[in-house]
Amino acid sequence: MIEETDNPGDCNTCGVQREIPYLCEACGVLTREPARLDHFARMGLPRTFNLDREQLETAYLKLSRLLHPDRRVREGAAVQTKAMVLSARLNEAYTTLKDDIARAEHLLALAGGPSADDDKRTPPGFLLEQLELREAAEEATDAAALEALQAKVVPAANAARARVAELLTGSCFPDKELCAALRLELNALRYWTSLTTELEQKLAALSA
Amino acid sequence: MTDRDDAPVVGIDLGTTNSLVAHWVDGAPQIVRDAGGHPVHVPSAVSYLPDGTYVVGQAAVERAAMAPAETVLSVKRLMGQGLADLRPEVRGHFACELVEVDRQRVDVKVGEATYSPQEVSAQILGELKRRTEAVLGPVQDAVITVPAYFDDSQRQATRTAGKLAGWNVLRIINEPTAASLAYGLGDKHTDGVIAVYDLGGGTFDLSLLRVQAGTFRVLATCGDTFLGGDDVDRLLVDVALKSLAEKGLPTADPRLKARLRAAAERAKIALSTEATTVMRLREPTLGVNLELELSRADLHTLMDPLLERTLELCQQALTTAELTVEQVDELVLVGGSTRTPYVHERVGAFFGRAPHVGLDPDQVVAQGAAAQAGILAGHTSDLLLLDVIPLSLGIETYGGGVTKLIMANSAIPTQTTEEYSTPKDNVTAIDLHVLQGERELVADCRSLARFKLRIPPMPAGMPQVEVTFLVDADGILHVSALEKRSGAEASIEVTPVHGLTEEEIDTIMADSITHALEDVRVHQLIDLRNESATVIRATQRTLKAEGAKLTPEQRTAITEAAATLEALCKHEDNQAIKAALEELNKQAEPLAELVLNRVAQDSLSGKRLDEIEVS
Repeated sequence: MIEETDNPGDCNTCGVQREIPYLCEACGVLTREPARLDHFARMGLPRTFNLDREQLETAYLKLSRLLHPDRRVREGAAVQTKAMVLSARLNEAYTTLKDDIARAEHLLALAGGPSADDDKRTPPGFLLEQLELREAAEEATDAAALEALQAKVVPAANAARARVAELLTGSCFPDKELCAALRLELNALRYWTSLTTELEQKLAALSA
Repeated sequence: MTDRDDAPVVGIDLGTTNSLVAHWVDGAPQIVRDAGGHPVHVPSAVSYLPDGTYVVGQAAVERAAMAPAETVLSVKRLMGQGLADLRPEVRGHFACELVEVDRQRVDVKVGEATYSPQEVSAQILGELKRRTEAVLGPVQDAVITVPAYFDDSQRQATRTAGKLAGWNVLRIINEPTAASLAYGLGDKHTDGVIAVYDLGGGTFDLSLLRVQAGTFRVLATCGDTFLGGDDVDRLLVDVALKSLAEKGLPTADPRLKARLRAAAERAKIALSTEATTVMRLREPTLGVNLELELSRADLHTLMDPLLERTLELCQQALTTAELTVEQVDELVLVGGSTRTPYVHERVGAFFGRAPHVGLDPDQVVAQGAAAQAGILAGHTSDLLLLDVIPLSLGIETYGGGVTKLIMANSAIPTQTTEEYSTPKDNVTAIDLHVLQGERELVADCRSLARFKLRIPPMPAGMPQVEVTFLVDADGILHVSALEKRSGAEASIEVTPVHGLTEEEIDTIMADSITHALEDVRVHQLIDLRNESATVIRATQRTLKAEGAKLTPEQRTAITEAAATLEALCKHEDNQAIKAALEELNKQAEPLAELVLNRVAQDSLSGKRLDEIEVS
């Protein structure tokens, strides 16, 4: 059944204190979802960039078991539909939180920061450097040349990733200035990631 | 739900060459067996006779050699495909004529009649249904398996085939996932990562799953719908044809090809146990007398490129799942083609462990499908399958590019939200084209659906249309949209771009449903009559031996119930016979108790009257 309340705290059906805002983990009853629930709250996890991977996996598996529509085949179509939607949102939350960049983007969006479409800037000189690296990647025909490029690109990508982590470690509620800095790093990180993938693909194609 | 609690649910392995049914019974999947104890197993073949009727299964396979152009084998390779999707060697596999209907449908033409792959598959599924119902009584609900790498149009085609055959398709699930479910059920201590390597006749799949306390979570799945054991047969046929051509003998005869294929398969199987074999074929009418010596090494040379390709896909799946080979706890081989010892050897070497044996690779898929049917019918709550979407979903962008919305291997159900606006003033509709596939260009992906979002007219760039793409547990896409400024829900027109149209489905259904109903009724009647005869005989025998211990009223009630049943069996009212049979069983209960008390053996408890032998 679906409980028609968004009352936080105790479950109306079984009285147990609820940890997840839309679900009673004790009796399985689904309640109305609070508006604009962020991915951390959806999974009952603390809002932090340095998320414990094991904690994420445990929460995901536990909630999947409770929310998957196949577990509610005897509860009627309405509950099943609700479970399906909640399950889809859980998977969206898990996919986002699992990935460093997506998790950082989510924290930035929660802080009201600019999206990649709003602010496309990159650090000074960055695009020129990327252009050169890309040309080198396109011209590289043997494994040695590609690996040499990888030796440059991978550490740079890791460094950019580390800077994002550093910016978000101080505060998960970044202010306007921090948001702008974060946007700049995340924009750069997109370029690094796509270049890393491209090099991997070229190497894989060579070995095949 | 409650009235259907006891209704049987089944899992169907609809294979390229063979199909099999399992059902969920007493908390476990079991292969459906006929009265003789043989699995309900139907070769996936349909042969069309000149009088307009058709035969399915073994009879069709036997007819293939005589009438190849009238017989459809491996129809699964045509499901949801256009002519352009079929490689030349796959096209060459079909001795019957192929006719393209649209980009995602190729029909087979036999004489003047054409059949869609959905109809041909439905004839196979219909045969499975008849034979299953002869054992279990009426069955509606089924889970049908497909290769993990089947795209949406291939899945839809399979679903349609199930519907045409009169099944209520609970879900389409992936073959390797089904296999892992069966594997996990067979052994209770299986927490860890399982790799399922599934090499069938025409398809290859690799799936990686994490099992944790009854929850089976698919981590990654990779595959190739044009890679399978049949390719090895085809390569062997090519070797034989080459040898014939060298002698200046004819090679184009379709009957010869069909017989060569059979000879190739025999040679392949022989080489599993023998170091050398001779591929023989005599066809005096064509002057062919082939004797081709083959060694196991020859076979391995032919198989190597195919196996290498499968191992590349294994590596790809591991990378997607962020796993190393060492983190795989168990290797399960599925599909007839994995019986070849060389496959064990190569795949075992790649994963660094011996494959798990102990499950019949031909049966696990049907068993796993039956387990999923058990879950979906609410018969078990110990198990849960968390599946993924096998191919990415994307949306067409300017210039024929594709932007990915939902990545391959995302757990389902899943959703994603995108925001769209307008490039010009007063635009009242936004067209969205959803595609499936991993490639970057529209031309290289498969068109899934087109949507038109209707919005209120506004200046360019003003509308903020938030579109939510939701993929449900069945892998079906739902789209909803909201224009945020006006708060108006955008209306969505969906144009399905593939498969049979609803009208076509309805027409085929109307044609077949009357026959199907009649068939079910006739089968049921035969079964009821047989069962009644058995119960009446057993009752009369027992009444003679033990009847003195009953009251006269009890004896009369039994005799009357038996007489009523006997009389009704002469007519064709299934419901009346069923009721009379139940009545007789009820009236005969005191008699059964007597016998049970006398025999007083634990092993007999729970048996029905007709099963007890009276000495």
